[in-house]
Amino acid sequence: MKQLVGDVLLLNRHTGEFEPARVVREIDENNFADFEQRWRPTLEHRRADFDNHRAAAAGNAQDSHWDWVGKAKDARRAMGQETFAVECDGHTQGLMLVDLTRFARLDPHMGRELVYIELLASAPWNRHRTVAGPKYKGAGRILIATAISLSVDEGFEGRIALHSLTQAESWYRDEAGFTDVEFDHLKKMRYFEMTAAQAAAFVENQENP
Amino acid sequence: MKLLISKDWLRRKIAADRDIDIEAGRPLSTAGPEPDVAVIAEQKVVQLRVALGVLVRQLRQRDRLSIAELALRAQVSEDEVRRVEHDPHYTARPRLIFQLSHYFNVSLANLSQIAGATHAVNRSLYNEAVRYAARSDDVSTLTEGERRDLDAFVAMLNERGKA
Amino acid sequence: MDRRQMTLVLNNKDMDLLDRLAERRGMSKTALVRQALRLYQSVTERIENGSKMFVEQPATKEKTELMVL
Repeated sequence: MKQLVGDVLLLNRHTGEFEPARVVREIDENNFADFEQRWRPTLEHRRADFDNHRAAAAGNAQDSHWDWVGKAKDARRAMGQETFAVECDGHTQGLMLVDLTRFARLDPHMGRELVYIELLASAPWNRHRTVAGPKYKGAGRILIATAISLSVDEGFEGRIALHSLTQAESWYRDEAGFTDVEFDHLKKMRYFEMTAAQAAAFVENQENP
Repeated sequence: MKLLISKDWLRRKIAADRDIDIEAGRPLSTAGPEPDVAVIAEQKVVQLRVALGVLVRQLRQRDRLSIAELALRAQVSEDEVRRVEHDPHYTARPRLIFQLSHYFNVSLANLSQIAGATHAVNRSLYNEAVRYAARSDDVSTLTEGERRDLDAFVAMLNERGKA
Repeated sequence: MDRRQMTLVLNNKDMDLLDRLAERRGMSKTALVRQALRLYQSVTERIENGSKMFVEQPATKEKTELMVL
């Protein structure tokens, strides 16, 4: 069942004002409907813009379909997977799917439990790559903080990991403070991890340095 | 669970963040139920090229041309035609595909897919091509049955090309 | 989230193991048991789907099948 995780804020780029939003856990039919009816048409439209498949592939290195909706629905009855969403203005502004059954690869905490982010996506109307005037800013950062919060809650001390889309790599490395572990040749994406200390620094948690 | 951030933190951090798309995991832009189009893996390319080889050979046989004669008329090299007909690991050059498409009057887009020249291929086209290739025998003349299959396959390629 | 409680009866050896494992992994016993359940559910589903699980020896790359349900 969907639960409220916390109240947050998103920046509306058009007005320059922060608007109230919320983070929810275990996305439901409304979120799936948002994805099918509001996200997908814009995403499909953009894909059609590519002249050919090669250009589309160049835009996204791993240009293959994956049934994230199926996985997200499976997550409802799986202990090892969780879904989250950022909702604002009555709609789904960000989505996240995480896996709790993976372990750290990085030396200081190798083999330790962490929250692995399988999917982190902002609504297409919030993205520079998709629209000319993207609307809300902050969903990505909020969801990273949510993953860290979950990691702490589960006893994983804030450790998280993800594979980054190319355009976001520098943000993860330089602004968020992840460790760039390696280029993953299987997934063809850079793999990043956050130690407990890095996670604490990200959320500026003075209680658990 | 407790969300470890405050609204104050959000105001400061979101405003200061560089304005880029923060995403992770496989891109959502191509997410969804299995589509018609799939990025083709190496083995599938080989399968398709087997079909290409059969197609070119059968079209040539239909028109009663030797490899040399076809090469001359389509203005391509004999060696390339031979390789396309016999070597599914051979990557035909775009010009060859174009010339053959033009000469035999077969949809360039679909011929390119069968040549493994595109990044992705239509699933049902792939299935049709593989089935078509499986039905042929490597003989020097076309049987009636093969002629029918050939005509049907070419018609299918050109019909799809219009879509 | 609604919660329910369960009493887990373990012999001394297993209880000691649970204590040590939780300490080693830096987690509470409850968190450890939950993680163990996650992994067990994940393994169960994969095997029921027909996948096999293997352990690979780092030096020799030799694989041993882990479990069959």
